[in-house]
Order: sequence, then structure tokens, then C-alpha cells
Amino acid sequence: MTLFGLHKWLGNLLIVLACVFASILSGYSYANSLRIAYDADPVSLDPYEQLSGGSSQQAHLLYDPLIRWTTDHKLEGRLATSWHRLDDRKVRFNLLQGVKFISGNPLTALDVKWSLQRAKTSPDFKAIFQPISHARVIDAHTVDLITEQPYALLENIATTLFVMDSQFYQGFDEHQKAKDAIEKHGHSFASNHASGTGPFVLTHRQQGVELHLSRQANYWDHASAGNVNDIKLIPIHDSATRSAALLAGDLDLIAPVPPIDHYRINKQAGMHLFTRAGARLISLQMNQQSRLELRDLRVRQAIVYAINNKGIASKIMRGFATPAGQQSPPGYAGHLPKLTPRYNLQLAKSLMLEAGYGNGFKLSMIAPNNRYVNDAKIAQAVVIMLAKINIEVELITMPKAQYWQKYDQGGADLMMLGWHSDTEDSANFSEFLAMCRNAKSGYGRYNGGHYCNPEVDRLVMASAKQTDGLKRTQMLQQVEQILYQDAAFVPLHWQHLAWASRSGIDIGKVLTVMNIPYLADLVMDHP
Amino acid sequence: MSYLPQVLQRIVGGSITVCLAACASYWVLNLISPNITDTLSLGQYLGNALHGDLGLSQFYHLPNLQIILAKLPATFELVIVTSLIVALLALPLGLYTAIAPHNKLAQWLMAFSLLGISLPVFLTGTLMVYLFAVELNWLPAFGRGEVIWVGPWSSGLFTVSGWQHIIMPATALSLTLLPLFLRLIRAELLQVMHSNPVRLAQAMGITPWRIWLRYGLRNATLPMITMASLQFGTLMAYTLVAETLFQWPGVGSLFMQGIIRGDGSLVAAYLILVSIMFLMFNNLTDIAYGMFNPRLAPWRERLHKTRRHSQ
Repeated sequence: MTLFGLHKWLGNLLIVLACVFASILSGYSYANSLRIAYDADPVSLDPYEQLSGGSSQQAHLLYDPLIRWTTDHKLEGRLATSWHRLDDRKVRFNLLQGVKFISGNPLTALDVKWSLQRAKTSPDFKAIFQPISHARVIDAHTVDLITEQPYALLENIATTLFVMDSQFYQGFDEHQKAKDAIEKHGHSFASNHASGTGPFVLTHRQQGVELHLSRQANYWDHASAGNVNDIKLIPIHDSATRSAALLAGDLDLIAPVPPIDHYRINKQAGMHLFTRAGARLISLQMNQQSRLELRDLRVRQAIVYAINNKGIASKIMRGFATPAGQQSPPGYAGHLPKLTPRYNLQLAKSLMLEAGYGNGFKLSMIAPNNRYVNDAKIAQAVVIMLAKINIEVELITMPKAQYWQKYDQGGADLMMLGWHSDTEDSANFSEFLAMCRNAKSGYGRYNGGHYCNPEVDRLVMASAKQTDGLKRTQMLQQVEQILYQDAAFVPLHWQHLAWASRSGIDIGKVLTVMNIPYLADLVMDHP
Repeated sequence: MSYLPQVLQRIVGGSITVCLAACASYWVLNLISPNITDTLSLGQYLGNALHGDLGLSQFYHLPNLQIILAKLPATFELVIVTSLIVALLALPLGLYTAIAPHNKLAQWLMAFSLLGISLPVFLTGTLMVYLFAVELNWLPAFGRGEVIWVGPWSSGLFTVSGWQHIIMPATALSLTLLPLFLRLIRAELLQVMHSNPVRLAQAMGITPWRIWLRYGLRNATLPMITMASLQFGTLMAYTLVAETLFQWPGVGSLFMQGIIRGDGSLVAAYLILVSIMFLMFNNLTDIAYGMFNPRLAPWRERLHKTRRHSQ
């Protein structure tokens, strides 16, 4: 190679580099297309395969429920234009006429009945739909949902009843499996094919990489002002990468946003941070089965008194959480305003002395490290706080994949648990976390503390049958009062919700308290 | 057929290595997902692996081999572009710093290369994202951009957006490898420049460029190949970091997700495949040795001893 040759080679390199940079500067242009990043994509297109927040967010895009919660937590009709209670056990729903599924099949009451029956067989959802015994088809566009017992929350359950295309899922796929089979992570036909009435149609899906949706041309909801034409959903696991991608202008919307990035996003011109109080309770379960000490009321109270959850909410969560003294967040039926956080170190110490554990003891503790906002940091703070009342805590944090297995085995004395009520109602907390564990009925399924108080069970069961709102509220408040006195668990805080977007997108207008955005109703402006 | 013994030796040695790697993978599988190893003995696991069955992923419920191969193009392209950047820059820069060691620019280059060696990818990568994506908005912060499908192979190297997306991760990766090669080439050249043959060439009046390229660089190729094969492991490890940081949908981020999800089956399969890749790469290195320096050709039986020595 001669000197001249080298020059030529360098010259070529420069031209290539120049081309690359020129193309970089060309920029992007999209027309009412929304690019969203979230932490993980749902495993399935089937709304009944996996019970998770991501799954129901997706279900609201591809399918429609009978009714839904509005952003100010009231019920509004979707596929049901109207509904009314016939008696204690029946609610009649009148369906929209002329609605078609993506396959072209018309929506009828038979689809509702079929979807309900299917949901009742789903391992993840059967507990939610268990109170509804069956649906009775009155005519093509009228259907009754009927419960076995008088049941107050039938409408709440109807918000999770997404109507699927019963004809589309008939028959068998190429593997000779039933098309409507619900198999967790089983790659069944329903998990890879969607036919709903929802506002968006799936155009492209590459699991773990991206999901493309485009607006259904003749979506029935003409009243909606939403102008989003297509949506690209991208899972970005690393929260810092997610924030950086938004700030770089590669994305229009991200969630969740870690508290550490709030300031940065707020400060940036052209970016918009939306936060609101959420309803997910973060708590610690005190395992009374593994430790005799924790059966002592005074010890449990001492632990609750020793944990400064206001401090956790303001310092670790940076104000991105509301410290809790009970299960039900404000606005829920069972919420009792007087049950506030009760940090009092002196009282905690004297309770420990009184119980005969002045010298303390050792406890094991587990917490996830990638499930809740700052979960591992919160757990570490708890360790330090409990050391002040001479309880030595041995903490192990682990990824959520391993955590739930450990939790189900009751693998430690203190266990962190976050819970969002599936029905947006107080009773759901108690049914899963506070009632006596019963493998057969499923009550107390996540009651890791093995707390058991027959009075709580009686009140919660009675509240389910009580259709008089005021009486029901009193019952649920009484439950909270008992749990508070019994120190059944350690309430930490209700985690807030955070979304960040470029300006011109006001996600707050379409976001419900369950963290479900109605993207079909979103009105986006160009930046 | 005189090189048959060497080939056989390699095959036997390689098989034993892969077998050991598979045993280690089984042990990892046992740690992460004991429920799988309860019903699957080590013998069965090795037997299945021998038939190309690396098990089903516990998360995706698909064959691990299929999942990993689907993600391989992304990683492969990242590695190729990184290697290209390193090769295209290390050669001229190494040459330059050796030819003019006292020049100010050369000294700055050496100082920067020290910085490059010392800074880990996750730091340079984060800084680059902050500067070029967040502050300057020049480059996209994550992902692979538009890809086109050539049969089963997805490539981002034929689209503008693909190149926009690959520049940052590839540069971040090459920033740690480039200084190593730059310094190596410089050191080798400086050494060769003071050797007798070069002095003779200078005395004969051969042009400096010819001496640098023909006598200098050529002598520096062997250590470069050695370094390249050693750095292959580093590159694989750093790809994990870069892929996670830039949300690059390759094998590295798949592996990281596998760990986070506790997908032991996938993690173990990845480890076996990586060990096979290492082995293949080592053998390729030996073949390359022979091509660049016939004295070291593994197929040259009579110089077998010399080769051992030089390794």
C-alpha cells in the first residue's frame, strides 16, 4: 500500500462517515403515531391468560369490556349501553347493536356468555369471576349476569369481562389444540391471535421487541375524541434506558418512571411528567406460622410502631407514595381516615419489653428487587429500623421470578407484598391478604402472615352479600379497624403512578386509578 | 494426511471441553431451577444436548436453541460492526503513534487510550446516551431500528435507521477494545523499528511507508491475532452490558432477562453455546496463525514444537 493508497482509503472512510452523519440528521416524522415504552410486554394477546397490569392495559386496546371505570372512578358503559340490577343476584346488560369483531362476526349476547364461561376456567381469573355463576342470554343483545349469592360487586367484575369473538375461537389449530385453550405461557392459538371489538387492531408483533397496533377503521365509539392512529409498544426493561429514550425524543410516552428520574424529566423543556396517587398497597407480612414471637400481639404492634413508613415515603420514595396505616386507600369503601401511620419508637421499645423480648430476637426477611418501586431499598431501611428495637433481620432480596415461589412457600418471617385490589374495592384486600387461609375456597391466598380472625372472615363474607352501600361501607371499615388493632400486617405505603411523555400528550386525561390508559381516547398534539 | 493427528487431537480436546462446559451448565441449571434437574439427570441432559436439544425455556416455552438463534443476528451484527471500527481505527492510529511518538497528537491519543482502557462500557455507554441521545438528540437511545429480513436473518445494516441505532452501542463497545489494539500495534512497531532487518532496509533506501507497512505492520499481525482471540471473551461479556444498556435485542440481553426471570434452562443453554463459540474461535485463531505465519501452520507437522512454544 502506498501513501497515495492510504489517502484514498481514508478519503473513502470520510465519505462513509459523512453519509452516516447526514442520515442521522434527517430526523423522524410520524403522523399521530404513538411510541410507548413499558417495562415488560404481556406474554399473551389473550386477556385471560395472565392476571397482570400489563395484560389488562393491553386488553383495553384489543378488546372492550361490558363496562369500565372512568378516570374519576365512576362506571360507564362500553359494550353494554345500559345495565340495571334486577334483584340481589341479577344484573341485566343491554348490548350495543351493530358492533363487529375484527373477524367480521357480529357481537351478540352469546359472545358475552361464552367469554364469561371461558374466563371462569382461567387459572388466574377464576377467583375473580367465581361469584358469578352464569350468564343468561335473553335475546341477541340482552344478557343477565347471575350470581349464586347476593353479591354487591357484580358491576365491578363486569369491568374485567372482555368480550371475545366466540366463533373465531371455535375449532382446532394446526397443532390440534383447541383454539380457545387457556394455557399459561403455552403459545396457544388465543395467545397469538386476537379477535375483539377493541379500538385497535394488531398489525405486527414480535414478542419482547415490539407490538404494533393500528386504529380500527370503523370502531363503534364515534363519540371518542381520540386521534391516535397507531401505537408502537416497546418493552424496555432498564428504567434508565427508558427515561433516556424519552428524553432523546425516540419515544412519546413511558411508564413506569422511577422516582430518581422525576426531577430530570420535570426540568426538561418539552417533557411532561404525570403522577397521581395510586391504589397499590405495599406491605410487610409477619409470618405467624414460622415464628411464635409474631403470634404475640405486642410484638407485631412493636414492629408496626418501629417502622417509620412516613420516612420511607418521603426519603426513599421521594414523596412518590402515600404512607399507609391500613389496606384501603382513600376513596375506597373501607377507608377509615382515622387509621393513620403510627411511628413511635419509644412505644415500640416498651411493647417489646412488655412482651419479654427486650433483648430482641432474629428474623429472616425476603423482598423482591425488581417488582415494586425501590422494593429492595425499602427492605433495607426496614432492617435498620427494626434493629432499633433489637430485632436482627436477615434480609434476602431476589428477582420477582424467584420471589413468588419463595413467598408461596412461606419462605421467611417477614415478607414484602404489594397488592392492588382486582375489583377496585376494599374487600378484595381482605379476601386475599387478611382472611384465614383456606386452600379450598382460595380465601387468604396471599395471607403470608397466616393471620386468622373469624370476626374478620365473618364481616368480609357478609359484606359481599350486602347490597346496601352504607351498611357495606361500615362493615369494611370495621374490618380495617380490627386489622389495625391486631397489627395483622405492616402497612407501608400506597405506591403512586408515574407516566412521562413529550408535551402535547396529556396521559392524565385518560389514565384510570388502576393505571390503565384509555389510549383510544387520547388526544395528541404535534410537538 | 500428515496433519490428521492434530485435527483428531483438537476434536477430542474440544469435545471434552464442551462436555465439561455442559456439566457446568447443568450445575447452573440445578442452582437456578432445581425443579428441572429433579426430573432430568446429568446423563440425560448431556445426551439431549448431544442431539441438539438444549431444552425448553421456562419463560417462552419454546426450544432454547430456537430462541437464541433468533436473537443471534442482532448480536452478530453488533460484534461485526464493533470489530470493524476497532480494525479500521486501530491500524492507522497505532501506526501513527509509533511513527511519531513525540508528536502532541500522538501523546494525546496515548492519554485517551489509557482512559479508554480504564473506563468500563456501562459508564462510557451511559455517558454517550446522555450526550448524544438526551442532550444533543443526534442518535436514538435504544433498540435496533428498522430491520429487514433476509430469510431467517434480520439485518439492520441495510437501513438508515439501522445504522443510526448501531453506531452508539458499537462505538461504546469499541472504545474499550480500541486502545488495547492501538497500544499493542504501537508497542510492536516500536520494537520492530529498532530491529536489524528494518535498519538494513532503511540503509538500502527503501521508502518509509513501505518499511512501516510491509516490515513493521506485518510483524505485528501475530500478536494482534492472539489479542483478538483473547478479547473475543471480553467482547462477549461487554456485549451483555451494552445490549442491556442500549436495549439491543440480542443474545446478551436475552441472557440477562433469563437470569432476571430465573429461566435456568435458557441460561444453561446459552452457556453451552458460548463455550462452543469460544472453542470455534480458538481454532480459527490457530488457523489464522498458520495463514499469516506459515511456520506456525498446525498442518506443518515438523514445526509442531515451535508452535507450542509460541503459544
